[in-house]
Amino acid sequence: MEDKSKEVKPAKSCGCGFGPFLVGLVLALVIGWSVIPSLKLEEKKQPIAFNHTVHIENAGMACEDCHFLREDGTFNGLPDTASCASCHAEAITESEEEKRFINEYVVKGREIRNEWLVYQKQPDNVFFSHAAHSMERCGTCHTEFETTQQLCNVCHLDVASTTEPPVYKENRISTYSVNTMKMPECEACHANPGHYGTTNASNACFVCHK
Amino acid sequence: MQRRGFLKFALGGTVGLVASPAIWTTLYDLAYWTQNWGWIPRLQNGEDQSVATVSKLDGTPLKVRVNGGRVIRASGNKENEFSKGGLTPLAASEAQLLYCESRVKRPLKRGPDGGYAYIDWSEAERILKEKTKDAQGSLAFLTADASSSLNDVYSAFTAENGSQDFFFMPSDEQAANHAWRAMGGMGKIGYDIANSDCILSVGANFLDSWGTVAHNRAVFDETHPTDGSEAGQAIYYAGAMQNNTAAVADAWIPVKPGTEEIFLLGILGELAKNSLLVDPAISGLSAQYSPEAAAKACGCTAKQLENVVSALKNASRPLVFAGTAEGQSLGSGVHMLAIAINYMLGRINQDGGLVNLPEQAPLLPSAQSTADILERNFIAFCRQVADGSLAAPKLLFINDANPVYALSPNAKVQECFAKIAYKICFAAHWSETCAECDLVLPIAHGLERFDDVFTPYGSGSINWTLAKPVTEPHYQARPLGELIIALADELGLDLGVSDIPSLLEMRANALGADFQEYLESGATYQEANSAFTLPVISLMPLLTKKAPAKAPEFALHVYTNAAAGNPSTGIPPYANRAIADYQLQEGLCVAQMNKATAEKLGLADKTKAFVETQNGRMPVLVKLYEGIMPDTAAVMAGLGHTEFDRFSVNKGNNILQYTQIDMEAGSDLPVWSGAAKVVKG
Repeated sequence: MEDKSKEVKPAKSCGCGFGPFLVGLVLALVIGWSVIPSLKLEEKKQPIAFNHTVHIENAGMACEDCHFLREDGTFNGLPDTASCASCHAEAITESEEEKRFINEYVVKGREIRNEWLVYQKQPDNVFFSHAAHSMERCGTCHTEFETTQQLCNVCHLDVASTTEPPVYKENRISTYSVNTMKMPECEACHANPGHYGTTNASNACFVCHK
Repeated sequence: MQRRGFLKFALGGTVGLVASPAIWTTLYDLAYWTQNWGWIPRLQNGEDQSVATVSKLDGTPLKVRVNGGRVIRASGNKENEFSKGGLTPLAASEAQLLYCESRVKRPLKRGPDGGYAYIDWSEAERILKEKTKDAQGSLAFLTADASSSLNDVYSAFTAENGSQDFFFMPSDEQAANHAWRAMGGMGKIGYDIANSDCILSVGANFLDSWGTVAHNRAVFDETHPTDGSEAGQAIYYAGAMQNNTAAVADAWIPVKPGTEEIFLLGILGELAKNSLLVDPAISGLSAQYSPEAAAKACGCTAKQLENVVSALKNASRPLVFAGTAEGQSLGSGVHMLAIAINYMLGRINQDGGLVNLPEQAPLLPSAQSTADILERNFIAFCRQVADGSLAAPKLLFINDANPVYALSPNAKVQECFAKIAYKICFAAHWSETCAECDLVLPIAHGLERFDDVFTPYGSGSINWTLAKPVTEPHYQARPLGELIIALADELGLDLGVSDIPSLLEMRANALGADFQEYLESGATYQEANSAFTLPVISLMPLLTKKAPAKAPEFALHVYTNAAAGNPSTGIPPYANRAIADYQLQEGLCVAQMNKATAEKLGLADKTKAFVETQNGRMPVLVKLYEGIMPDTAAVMAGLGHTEFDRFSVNKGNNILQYTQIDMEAGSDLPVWSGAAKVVKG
């Protein structure tokens, strides 16, 4: 009979310890923080490489010339083709983008604002009133906003000094822009007790959701 | 890697993923993704337009925001000089009324079982043609809108069918014009509110529901600056309730319902004192009531009455007029007295006074003049048909009017309807009157058709605003004007016009206005009151008036609230948020009264009681409000619909079905009586 007591047990493989755990952890963190978010985003270009700087500095335009409150309190966020065509019915510069805009939009009667990608586009069930978030309202207490543009930039990308539109990043699952504000950002003000009694910034559902 | 190592690796990976935002943001994204499911309704964004037109509900000029052909909102038109951007609650509800569920969507025909069945338009047109042909010479036509030029088409159609029975719904305008013409006025009575520096309104809530409200409010804005400077116009309101006009008036003089004539007689008597103007009619009338006796009968003090007289005497451009809530005429007597007072003050055909608005000739050869139509009395017609003294017409056309709801049982509308062989209702919204008709045809809403507002009652000058379609007719609605012209063509009748825009162009030409310009701008054409033809005012008709009845012990004041719509609209969707909750309880109206009155009747706040009139007993909830004069209860009209939609049905009760209508001696015009009692429930 074989003497089993003399068998040599294999030494325990330590190939492990915390190594595999750490490798898995680090790998997952890299994937979770960097790879997956970038995979989820699709980068898109605006239909025209609009140059804000040229319009403000060279043409002397103000933000309000294109982005303004209508008489009834609604907001004209994007100018339409007709508004642009009031200057660009014919090419006034050597810009190729201007020529393309005239040929493809002005001449063909295509509406540019139907194709423009809105960085802050909200779902249909969210009603945001620009009139209720004006300098007259917010700026009364928040004196840190010296210009309307500063107030706008709380939510919007600061595009006034850009020479071409920022890349539009669209979430492949939700189809919203990566810059679209989400509820916690709204609630930063709406749920702030400091606003109660001094503003109409209630956090009740129907204030924003109709 | 061994099994254990792999498990450790997987565990690390899991912890890493959980510690990263990947899972959580993906869940968040998935939540957003659900908003993109195909069956979820989407906003239909399109071209954004602001179209100028006018509200056909009350003549308010509008700017309507339209996006992709869909009406979004009706706002005031700031560029319009007549209203200066003013907006009334009724006009503001135009967009909601366009889409609300009470819209008549397809032609409906009543079957033998009393139920309605959808039919197609070709079948409806066939019935329309057949019934009109059969009713030759026996057609009656009722419309609610007295300010439309399209009435020329409707009245010409009625006349071409061998009948003169074209009616407006009863109104103040009918009684005021009767008085005006009886006393020598040649055109239409006008009230130059804009140029007056002192107004006495007896019962006319002209800043809320009487006359050209948006214009009147614009005048108020101009004459009452908020910078502390002096007001350019004094307003005195005499009535039972502190309504919106009384609330901003310089003085509210409580006058019990049913004593308006006595109040005006008191003023006339006071004016006649020391007056060089001697007229047997005035001296005879003013002798009936001294200021003290008049004040006592009305419920105000002699001092209040004297103060009003003093203000009128001291003003350079005073104006006195009388009125009621919509459709609650007080007969011609009050208007005759108001005209007499303006005459005493030298205010006939003067800037800021009572003005004679020149009668406009009908646009079509067979059309009837507005003045002639106003002389016809729908309530008298109904009563005569009901009691058999007048042959019932074979066919009745009703254009967006709701007499079944709005007129008291004394008008005998239902009895009259029962004798009419066939009734066709042209309606944008399903109403109590639709439910009594044999055929109900969907007509275009005011924002879906060409129409106009021509010198509405309460105007101080000839004015005209064009309405144009801001969107295509919804459902199967058709513009009534075009439908009647087509029907006339089918029947071989020549109305003298090919379509409604041509008719409106005729109106523009008659006024000397540029049709295209007014169509595009939405501006209101206004004619200056420079070429007055001075009518010779005769006070003699006053002598034929009976002495006013004794003031009632207790009176019922029926008032309207623009948020409750009108009898043809029901309560517009969302507008009931502007009506207090306690007014909207099912089957129950609210009787407002002051505390002293309630205590006298043994009632307390929020207790149940009954309003008793000759027409029955209506349960009410007592609500204390010190803005009601003593011995008077105020009840809101416009509630208690049995038709329309869920926003209107069973909200409150319909006081109009309990009010009593008497016929004024001499004129046979309807007079809404304030006689009522409130008893414990």
